[in-house]
Amino acid sequence: MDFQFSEDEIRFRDSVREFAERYIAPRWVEIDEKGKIPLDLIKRMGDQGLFAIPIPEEYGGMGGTMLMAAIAVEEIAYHDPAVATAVYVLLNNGWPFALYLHGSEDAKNEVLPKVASGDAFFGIASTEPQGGSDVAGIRTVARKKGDKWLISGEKSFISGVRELMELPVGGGFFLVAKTEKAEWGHRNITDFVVLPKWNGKLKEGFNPTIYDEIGRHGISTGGFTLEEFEVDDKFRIGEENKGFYYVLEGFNIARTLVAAATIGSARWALDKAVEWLRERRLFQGRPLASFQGISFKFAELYAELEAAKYFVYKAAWMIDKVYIEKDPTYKPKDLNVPVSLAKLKGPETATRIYEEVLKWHGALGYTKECNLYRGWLGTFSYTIGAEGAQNIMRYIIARDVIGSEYVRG
Amino acid sequence: MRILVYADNASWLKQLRGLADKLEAEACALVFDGNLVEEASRLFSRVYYSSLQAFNPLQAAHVAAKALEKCNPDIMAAPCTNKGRIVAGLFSALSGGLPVSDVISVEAEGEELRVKRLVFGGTASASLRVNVPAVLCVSPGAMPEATYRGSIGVVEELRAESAGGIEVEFKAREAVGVEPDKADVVVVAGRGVKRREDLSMIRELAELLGGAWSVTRPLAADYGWSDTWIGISGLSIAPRLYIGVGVSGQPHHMMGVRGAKIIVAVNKDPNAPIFNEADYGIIGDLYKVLPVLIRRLKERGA
Amino acid sequence: MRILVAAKLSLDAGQLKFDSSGHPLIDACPRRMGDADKCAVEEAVRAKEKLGAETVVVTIGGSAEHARIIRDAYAMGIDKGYIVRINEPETLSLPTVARIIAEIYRRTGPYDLVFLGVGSNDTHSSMLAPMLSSMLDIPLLPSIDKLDVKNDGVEGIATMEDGSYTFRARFPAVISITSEANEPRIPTLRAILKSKRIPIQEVSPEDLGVNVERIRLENVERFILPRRRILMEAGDQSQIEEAVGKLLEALRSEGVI
Repeated sequence: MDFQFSEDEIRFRDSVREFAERYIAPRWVEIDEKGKIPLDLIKRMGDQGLFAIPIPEEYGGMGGTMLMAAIAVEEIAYHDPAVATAVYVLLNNGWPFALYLHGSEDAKNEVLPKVASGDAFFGIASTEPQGGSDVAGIRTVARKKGDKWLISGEKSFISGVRELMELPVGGGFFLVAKTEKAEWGHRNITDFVVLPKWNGKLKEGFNPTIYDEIGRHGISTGGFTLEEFEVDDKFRIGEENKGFYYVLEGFNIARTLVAAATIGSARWALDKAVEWLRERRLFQGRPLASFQGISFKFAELYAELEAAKYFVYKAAWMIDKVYIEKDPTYKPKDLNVPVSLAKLKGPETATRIYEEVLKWHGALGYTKECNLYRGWLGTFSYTIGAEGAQNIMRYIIARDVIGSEYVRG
Repeated sequence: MRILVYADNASWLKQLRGLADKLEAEACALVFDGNLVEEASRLFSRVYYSSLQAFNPLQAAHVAAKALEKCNPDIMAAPCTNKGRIVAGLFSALSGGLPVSDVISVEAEGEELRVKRLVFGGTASASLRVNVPAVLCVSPGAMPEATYRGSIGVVEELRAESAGGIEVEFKAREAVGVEPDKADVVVVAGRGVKRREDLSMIRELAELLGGAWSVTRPLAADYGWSDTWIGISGLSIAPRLYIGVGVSGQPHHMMGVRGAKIIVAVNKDPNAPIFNEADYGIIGDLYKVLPVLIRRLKERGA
Repeated sequence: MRILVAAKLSLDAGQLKFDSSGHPLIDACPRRMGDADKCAVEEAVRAKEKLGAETVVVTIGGSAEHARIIRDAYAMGIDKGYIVRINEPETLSLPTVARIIAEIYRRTGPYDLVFLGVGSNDTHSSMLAPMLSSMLDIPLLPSIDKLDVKNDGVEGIATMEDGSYTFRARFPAVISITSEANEPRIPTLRAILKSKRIPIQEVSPEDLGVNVERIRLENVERFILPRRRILMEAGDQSQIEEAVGKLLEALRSEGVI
């Protein structure tokens, strides 16, 4: 068992670190304050090859692995602890990869190179106003008409709605819809590549709104309605009615990368804590670290972060075994528990770390100037959901370890 | 023992004379600047002089070769400045002498020199033994400045061959007020100074103390707040008083400052490395400390 | 056009720590290609992009970290690389290093330009470039902050203590490049992965016929000039007033103000 990154992974991580130190760290507070990742930064990330990392070069991707994508996301989150930039990067790695797994050649050739270059955005549109976790209960419907599909419905709490409108080419989503009729079920779902803006043109039938969130301001969250939005059949992802299974595969990938973002941000908080515990002196010159109530708590948090880190790396490693190395020993369903562990523990650990570190900073921690609160709100958002609610993660772990016949009752 | 020194200003002429005295060596000097000839002749019994069109490395090499031939030294010495290092490199290649950089002390024992030098960005010192011929590149402020001898030395002009291989154009540094490397007091702004406008406080403090102001490398090279900076790749200074304001004390910068007689630092980070190298340190916010310092100096002046 | 770049694996002196008795913890200090060397590599790659130059990198030393320097240079765009296999390269005398690079220049040439970082992150002598220029009897452009490589020659601007120098020369020439000359590109993943497939040529000093001379540094210890180290806390207003008062008094008695 080798707990070291390979030389490629180390060199890649160092390159992302240098990039993030130079181009992201100086701007992260501004990104959170202004609520926007500057378009020139997105283009620079595209030029640096930070999108479409695990996708083969023939589709414009970087020819890397999911572990490398996780490394990149973690490093970027360390330098933008409010996580918006890391989330932007993970979405444009995870969902293009899901498209690569199941999309048509035409769709892949059309969409993937433009996402890789940073000119287009590609995320996920699954959640609807009536529910996110209950994917089987979605009501957006796609009706076939000749060689096209007409999609109508409403999606909510979608990342990237504003970004796709602002990018030069545009972008869209891996969208989950019901085939012909909105009935609850797992076997009547079809996925589509939906591109509300493409090659600079906005399409008909797409009506977006942007929400006002309490944190992670740099990337937009919004919703949209689709009114008979026309999608060519080449943009159907995989087979009709198999969409539920495809999107779950995508969620496993996205959850791993989300967890990577939260541990990167938390590592920044712990590094700041180390500095603070060394420097801050009280009660006649004693450093905060000399109070065991604090140093022991630090040790606990450090332990939890290390554990969360290894959950992330293992999940990413296994994703590579299944989809990139195509090692028959590992099947997609083997990913459920490792990924759920990462997604369960990453955001929670990060949020717990922020809460403590902020308190150690005293009243200073409660000021905007201290900046810790930005990381707290950013990582906290991922304990709510986004790619998978925490209770769904618990359910998956219990079901797969104890046995579904017992857990289902 | 005989030593040939190269210097590009009066202070260095005195420092390298001090080195020669310490080694009890017969000494000749090489200068490329006509304005230094008189000064050099008051310190050295033999002065070789060549008026280069501007500092042309090819011409410098030809002249250095001639000087080496005439002087036939065991030891060659030059300052650790941009030009000094180049001349030291040329001396080494031409004479076969082993070069040692950033020398802070030398002792001779027969043909062997026991040299102490700075390494690792000036954070550490190391000693080594070299046999002559050797080339010493000397750290600023390491050698005591010698005083003038009674007599005047002999000056010989060495013709520089026209070096067609390199064309050189020189543009003198624009003197903006007092030059940091000539002032008795220098106030330096570091990264703790957040805005360009805040440099006015630094300038005011420098003026009140009758000195010069400058910046650390990031403020010049990255932010563009100044053309020059203090540090190993910029200016080295040896004033009587150095005040670092918001300067953390990175090795790169401190290498250019060690020659100062008194080092004062103002920084809000108690762990800033500069506090290890300061005579007096104020651990506080420069934005609160400087106004008080300026006010008190004005009160005293009034 | 062919360009040779010499890069050194040096200690990241900014990260060097010392133990309680003042001995440097050298083994624990990370080593990497120095900042000025990276700028030299970057200038070579820019000349390749602008004028189609063939670029070659050489480093001296036999460890895996040395191989990584070559690979990192490949990932920036360098075409070929040589490793001069020798143990303890940090003990080589500067003339030995110059002789090795001079031999590589002669045996794997012809080259139009030799680029070096002006000084390394650890020993920073800045003497290698003038030595090489003298040994090879070719012009030197020293300490260049801004370089312009043309088809028939080079122009470079250097900032020295007294002002700025613009140097112009034809080929061949040795250029020493400062860490202010450019912002070196960060290699992309594609370039990193590709760099593994480019072979590295290995040579030994014996192959080059170079006599190896070593200098061993002794008594390496922390260097801090004895300073008074009188520190004053200046947290609140009254502390600030007190500290400033004490400082001015001390400076007056030192005779510096």
